Amino acid sequence: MIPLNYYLATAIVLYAVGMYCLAVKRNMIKLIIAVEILTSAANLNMISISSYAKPGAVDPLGHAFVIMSIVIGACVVAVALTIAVYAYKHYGTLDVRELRRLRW
Amino acid sequence: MTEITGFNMLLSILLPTIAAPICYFGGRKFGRVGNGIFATFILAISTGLLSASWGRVSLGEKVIESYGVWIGLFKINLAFLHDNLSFPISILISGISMLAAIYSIAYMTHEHNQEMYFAALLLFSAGMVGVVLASNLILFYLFWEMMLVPSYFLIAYWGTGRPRIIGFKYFMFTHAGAASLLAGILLTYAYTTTFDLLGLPNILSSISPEILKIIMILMFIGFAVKLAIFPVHTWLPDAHAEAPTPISVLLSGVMIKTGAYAIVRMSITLFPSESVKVSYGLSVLAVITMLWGGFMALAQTDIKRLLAYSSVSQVGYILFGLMSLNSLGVGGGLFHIVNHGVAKGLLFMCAGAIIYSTGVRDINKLGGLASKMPLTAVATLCGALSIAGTPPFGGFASEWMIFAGGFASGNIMLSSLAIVATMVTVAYYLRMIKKVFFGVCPESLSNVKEAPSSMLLPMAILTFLTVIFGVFAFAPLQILYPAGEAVTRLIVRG
Amino acid sequence: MKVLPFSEYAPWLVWLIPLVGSVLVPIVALINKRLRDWFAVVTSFVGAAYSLSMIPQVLNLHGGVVDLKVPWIPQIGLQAGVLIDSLSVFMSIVASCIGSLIMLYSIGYMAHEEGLTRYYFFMLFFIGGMNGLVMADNFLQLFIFWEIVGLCSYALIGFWYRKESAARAGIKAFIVTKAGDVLLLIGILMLFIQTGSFNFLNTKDAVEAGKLATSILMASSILVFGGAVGKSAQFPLHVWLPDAMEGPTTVSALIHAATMVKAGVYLTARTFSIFSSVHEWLMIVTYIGSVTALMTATMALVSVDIKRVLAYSTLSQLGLMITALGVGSEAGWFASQFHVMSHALFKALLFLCAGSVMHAVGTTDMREMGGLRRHMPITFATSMVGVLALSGVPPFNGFWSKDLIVAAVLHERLYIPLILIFLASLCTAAYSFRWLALIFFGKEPHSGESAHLHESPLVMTVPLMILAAAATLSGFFEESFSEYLGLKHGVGIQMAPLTLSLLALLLGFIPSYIVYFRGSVSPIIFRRGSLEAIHKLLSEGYYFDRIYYAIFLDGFPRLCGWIHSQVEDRVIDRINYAVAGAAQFLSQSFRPTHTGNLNYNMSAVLIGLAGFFIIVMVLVGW
Repeated sequence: MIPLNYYLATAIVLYAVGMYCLAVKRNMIKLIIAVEILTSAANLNMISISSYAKPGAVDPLGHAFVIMSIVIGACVVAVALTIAVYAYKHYGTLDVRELRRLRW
Repeated sequence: MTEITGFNMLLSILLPTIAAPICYFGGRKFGRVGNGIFATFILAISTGLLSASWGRVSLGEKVIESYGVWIGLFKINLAFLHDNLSFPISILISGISMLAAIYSIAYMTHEHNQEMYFAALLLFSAGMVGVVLASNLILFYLFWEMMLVPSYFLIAYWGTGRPRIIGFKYFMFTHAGAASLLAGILLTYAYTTTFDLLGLPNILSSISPEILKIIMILMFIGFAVKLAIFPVHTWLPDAHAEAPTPISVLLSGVMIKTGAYAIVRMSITLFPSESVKVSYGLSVLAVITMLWGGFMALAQTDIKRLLAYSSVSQVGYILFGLMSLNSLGVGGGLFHIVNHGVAKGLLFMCAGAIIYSTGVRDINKLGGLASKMPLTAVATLCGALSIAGTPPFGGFASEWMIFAGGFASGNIMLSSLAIVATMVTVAYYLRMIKKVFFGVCPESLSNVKEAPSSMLLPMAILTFLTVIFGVFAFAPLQILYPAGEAVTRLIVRG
Repeated sequence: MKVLPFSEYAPWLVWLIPLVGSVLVPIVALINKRLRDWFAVVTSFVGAAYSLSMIPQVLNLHGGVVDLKVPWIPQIGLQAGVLIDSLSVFMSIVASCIGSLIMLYSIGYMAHEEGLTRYYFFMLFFIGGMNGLVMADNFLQLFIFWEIVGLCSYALIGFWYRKESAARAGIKAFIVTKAGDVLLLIGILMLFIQTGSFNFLNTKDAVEAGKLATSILMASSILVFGGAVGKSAQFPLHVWLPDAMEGPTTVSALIHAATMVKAGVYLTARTFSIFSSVHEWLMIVTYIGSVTALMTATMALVSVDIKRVLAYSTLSQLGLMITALGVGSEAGWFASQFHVMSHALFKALLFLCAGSVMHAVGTTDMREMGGLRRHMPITFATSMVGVLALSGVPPFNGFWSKDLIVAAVLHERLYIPLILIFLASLCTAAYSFRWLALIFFGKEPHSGESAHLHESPLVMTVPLMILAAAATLSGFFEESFSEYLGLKHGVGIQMAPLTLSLLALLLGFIPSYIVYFRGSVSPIIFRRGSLEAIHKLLSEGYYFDRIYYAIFLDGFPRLCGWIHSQVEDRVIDRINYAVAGAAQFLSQSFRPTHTGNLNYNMSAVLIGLAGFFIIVMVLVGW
């Protein structure tokens, strides 16, 4: 079996990619994709830990949570895309810096 | 113990709190008068509920309502306490809030957002009653802040002058004191693992004196800021002068007294030996406050600022009485809390009546109003003479006890100085009365009429009380004096 | 003596009835105005009847005392009570009877005034308070009534509140007497703490048993006398009484001649038995009394206001009473009380006569009066009686009582006070005859208006006649008075005091006669040359008023204003604003971090996360 650490390392890499994208990119669609990547990282983390919980067995709780998380991830993306569509209609651009009204 | 011994005290705090949002939402439909009557009604019920403990308190018992555990992790119970100390002050708070609500109906005629005003008034009153009723430190602090927030809004949104800045100044300064108080409370928990006020005195005696001193100083700073003694008094003149008058009645009449209550309930009861050590220094500070407030009042020409500085001065008297640490002095100080609350509330109401009728706040521009507003004039005279310590009014009955207590604790020079300070009080009050009511009436004020009867009614009630407390002083002393004696017993033992 | 119902409660009723009556006056006023007036008068007469009914009880005591107590504030162990002895009943009779006569007089005198409900309320309240003061058996109760009569005095002096000068005079009276009251309260509380009781008898026992330290006894005795100095307007707190003449004449007669100002004398007499062992106290009392007597008598010489002369005269006579008490002997004590009685009678008489004159003439300036004896015969005759009594002409009562005072002072060989009193009596004769002459003799100022001048109505002249009769006759009751007081006093006329009194009388009368009655020398000579400076000094009241005003009305408020602007606003308030400002500054400085840009927010999240991670690593000990 592949050691657990590889999966965790992959999850960390995915997490780093997602955070980097959120911190740097300005395109709203790219940000949504980044949120998806972050969700995937968390899901991978959860699945890998629950699969390696007991030798020869799988902790079903972790897998159950991941299924719920995938569903929620889908809802999040749906809502986020809706916001992006309306923002594009309003501002005419997908630049996230337009959404700045909640500043000081 | 989780037995529930009655709901009076809980309801007396809960009713105004629940009524506040009802007042806000239904407010636009009730109209201003409806709102006012609703608020008065709620506060009257609250006062009635509180006074139900009269029988047991006058026998010297403590009435405790315990509703079981609230935050089990820190062993905080939801419990309220009525004893000789908190009963009269809670009745005072609730009663004067009710009178202020009646008074607001007419006074706030031209104001906006009255449903919000009455809602805030209800919350303010509930907070103050809660402070006095709370029997553990966390509840106490909760209500201490609950008193602060509505009053900030009341000053900032319905005040005069520069209300936002004044309100913010008041809030930050008092809150800084409260932060110190919180530090003290948390330190207490750190060393004793309990917040319960009834059980703390026994546990605290085993803590080292250095720690106790630090806790006492921290808590005292919080109380001192609220009580507005020199030199942390500067928030008071601005806040009380620029607040709307019914709120000034509550601020000056009762809110600052919660600081005095807290000093007795916590600083003296929990730290008796440290109190003895600091009593002389604090007595000196009290006399300085008396004189400072008096001198500053003498320099004022705005009628409400004059009354506000007078409150600073009177707070000095109360502190002087409390710090004499004997039954005469503490009993007198507590009695003065009641008398000053009634008299200063009355005076602010009279000032509000004058401002309402004439639109003028500067005493130099007023004059000869006694013929136009005779009832207001009589009420002002009664209130002023009461605070100046003239028999047969209540103020004398409490002031002589304060001075006697001062003499009994051996501070002859200080007590003599305190008695001389009453002359300053007489001077600025008589000067105010002469400038406002006597002399020639200026042309611009010739159409002035007496205040409306819904404003005169609470003034009449308070005037009546100033005389009653003076002539029949033994009635309130029946409850207040044993509180003083209890403090003395603690000091002697500790 | 007919027995009144409830006469065993007379010591309580004598002050309770007027007090309760005063509270009822506004209620009765709602029914009918005339009813209110007569209700007030009847109430005061009822009180007077009760005060007289106490005489048999006192005579039975033969100089002893009875102390009746009821619980008042049980928690502190305070009891209220009344002390029945010859002194208290005497003062009560003076206050009630003269008070009732003056109330009767008021019906006529104040008939055309408005605000009479307030007037009768405070007059009755005053009579009740004064009676309560003299009947009180402990210091605290006395102090309460002391302040109550001060309050009534303030309200009645400022009765015509629309007049700026009247309002100011009321405040001046209240504050100056308050200065005395403050000293009195300090003294009372010092005694209370040392002896554990406010009661006069208990305090006396404690002092005799030696329970008080000498310094405390001396301090409290002087402080208690300080209260008397304030209330009886002795030097240096005498400045309020002349201005108190702004009030109606009836008020001046009752409060500032017959009763309230005697409260200080009463207090000194009452505490005499407690403090007479303190030598310093006796000295201070004597000297303050005699200095006041002379100083104020000289001020009366130059005054042209009809009531101010009487006010200064009252101050001077009070000084005589205080001096007699300070002498320290039983003879002196008796002399002072006898003079209290005489003075109450003739000074009330003189004030009511002044009121009668003012009622007719409409002015208070004596330079606008003259020759009134033809138009107002009854007033003239009674004024004459009063003036003769005041100057000490035999056989009127003033002669007897003043002679006793001089005798007492001489007997104790106090020569400086004796000289001061002698000079004071001299001035008294001079100014009282001057007063009489300026009003009733001489030319009428405006002959055209003399047709309007007429005698006052009966309701005003009857009290005048009663008082004049009493002033004439009361001197002969010296022996029965001393028996009543329970003193063994040898009545007799000794040559030395008699000579001194008559000498002072003549020396004062002769110049006055020459200048004012005969008119052979014009009064202008008193203002020429070097005498002008003296005249200025006297008419300015030795500049006391100026000095007090400069310090307290001018300098002190200005000082407070300066402190307010420099210290309060600049320094202390700044701290408060600093706290609020610091909070504001803190939140403002963090504002720029809220850019609203999502990318920056996420960067912050990353940085925070990294920091958290590092802290956890460090803590776990990687």
